[in-house]
Amino acid sequence: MAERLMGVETEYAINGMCGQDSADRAAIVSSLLDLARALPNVRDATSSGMFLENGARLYLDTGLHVEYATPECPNPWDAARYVEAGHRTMLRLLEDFARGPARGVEAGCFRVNVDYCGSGATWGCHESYLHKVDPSLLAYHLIPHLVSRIIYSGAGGFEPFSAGLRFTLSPRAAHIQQAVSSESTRARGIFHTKDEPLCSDYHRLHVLCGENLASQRAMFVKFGATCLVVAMVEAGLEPGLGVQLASPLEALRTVASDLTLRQPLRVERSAGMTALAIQKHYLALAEAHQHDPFMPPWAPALTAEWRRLLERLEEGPAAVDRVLDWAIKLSLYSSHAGRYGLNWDRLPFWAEVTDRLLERLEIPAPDGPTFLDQVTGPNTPIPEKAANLAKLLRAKGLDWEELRRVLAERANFLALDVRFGQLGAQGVFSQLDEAGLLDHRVPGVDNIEHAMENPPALGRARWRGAVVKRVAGEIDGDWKCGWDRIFSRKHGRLCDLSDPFATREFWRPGPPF
Amino acid sequence: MRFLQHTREEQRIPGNGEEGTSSASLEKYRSEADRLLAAGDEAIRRALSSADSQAFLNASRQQGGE
Repeated sequence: MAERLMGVETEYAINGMCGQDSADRAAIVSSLLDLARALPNVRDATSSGMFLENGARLYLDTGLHVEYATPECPNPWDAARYVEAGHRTMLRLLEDFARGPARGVEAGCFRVNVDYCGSGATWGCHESYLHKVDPSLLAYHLIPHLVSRIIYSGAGGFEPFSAGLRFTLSPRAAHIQQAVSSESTRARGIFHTKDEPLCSDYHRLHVLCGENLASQRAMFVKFGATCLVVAMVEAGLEPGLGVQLASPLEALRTVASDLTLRQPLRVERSAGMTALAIQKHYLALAEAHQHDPFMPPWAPALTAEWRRLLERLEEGPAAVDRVLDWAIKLSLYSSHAGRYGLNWDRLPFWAEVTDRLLERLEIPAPDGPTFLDQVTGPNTPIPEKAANLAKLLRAKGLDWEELRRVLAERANFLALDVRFGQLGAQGVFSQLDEAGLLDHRVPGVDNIEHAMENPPALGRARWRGAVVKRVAGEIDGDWKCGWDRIFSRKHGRLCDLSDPFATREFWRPGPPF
Repeated sequence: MRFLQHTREEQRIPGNGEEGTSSASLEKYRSEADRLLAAGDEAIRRALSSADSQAFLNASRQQGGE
């Protein structure tokens, strides 16, 4: 059986409120990083961040957000466990912050994927998978998987570019503009060509179309299934054969907007396949080879969980409404809309009306319903269009008042989607989880406190964590750390971590320059 | 809400065998769903009570990214 390694980067949205006013986010983020420096750590050689004693990296990334990169993990249980360890670390920092001098500032940390303020920005959750495949082969075999896995890996939420409320399985899908791209901050691709191995003799697949998730089960299958697909390509199999999407981008939009999971996608030399059918295709191949020598030892356990999840998905969204992020949200948000007298089924219609009106008016998305006065008032700039629309609405038994109510509630729903993944007791997901009402936990994704302070048992992260733990207390040690080395100029020593599967600490004279 | 009622009525209830749904398991499922939605509403109420939503969104505005 072959070992594999994977890792996850989580970008956290941080904000602070002081009553109804925004607090200084830069100051909050800076304080959180200062507090993190009290944890056992070694300074990051390439940023103002640090490597922690569990082998993870914590740093400040573009856009004033804190990013936590897990150590390299040998299986999907560990990948999910160290993601959770990152959350727990952030929570601890927030608790320390709350006890600090900035009293009155309520700082929050959120697992969210898109900015609903119209900035066009996102918070990423990037996955990395170590492999030895010719990178030029991967897009062909990976894209159908990455598109179709949204049925379980989608975070759920609202279309970020709509001025209405349009629920989607994957808010991030709206930001994906190409099938293949080398960009990560604009013109993003379903498949990202970045190949920065950070080690010797391997490549690193960097997936940036994934989303921050709260459900352990969704994370577990997402990491595990993707890793097995990569393993199969590496072994010379052709998992992408027979499921090539005629238009990957169109398929991505279709899967993200299809709440029934029944919409067929255009597949080359096929009458069309649903996302579920494409996932079953990959699963069947993984099951057929799960005991082969090239597969990791955890493959049978993963395929069993993968199969269970797909079987539940076959029954529709209600079958997973306590399991998967998007389905939990769909259930809660639609119920919440009903309580506020909003017709959930009509929200996509009103979103379409709103978007077309704004396009016609050539104004940006408004904060509330006041722009409707402009449209429907006596001095409307689009009299003919407004009259036709009013006529159309009357024929459907609808009126502008319903849209006014939708737009009045819009900010609440968007804020709710941000609050869903808030870390700590205020988060909606956390509250439901604490009450034992969800079915998202995976046996084996546990011992989170231990994972905060200890690295995975296998691979170079073990040695990175051990060295960080050992030297972190040295006041004059001058230690610096990267993914592939830890060194001290002062001591003239370097721990070489360029072998990702290192089985011991390998020291040589340093520094590396 | 209607979407959920609609889909729940159309779909098989999860966790049941091939024979279909017994009224007891259907009742149990409905009860669990009701509990989830009730707790969800309470969680949402708490989450949204602390700040004006638009102000909160503006405070979360991303600058740059990834």
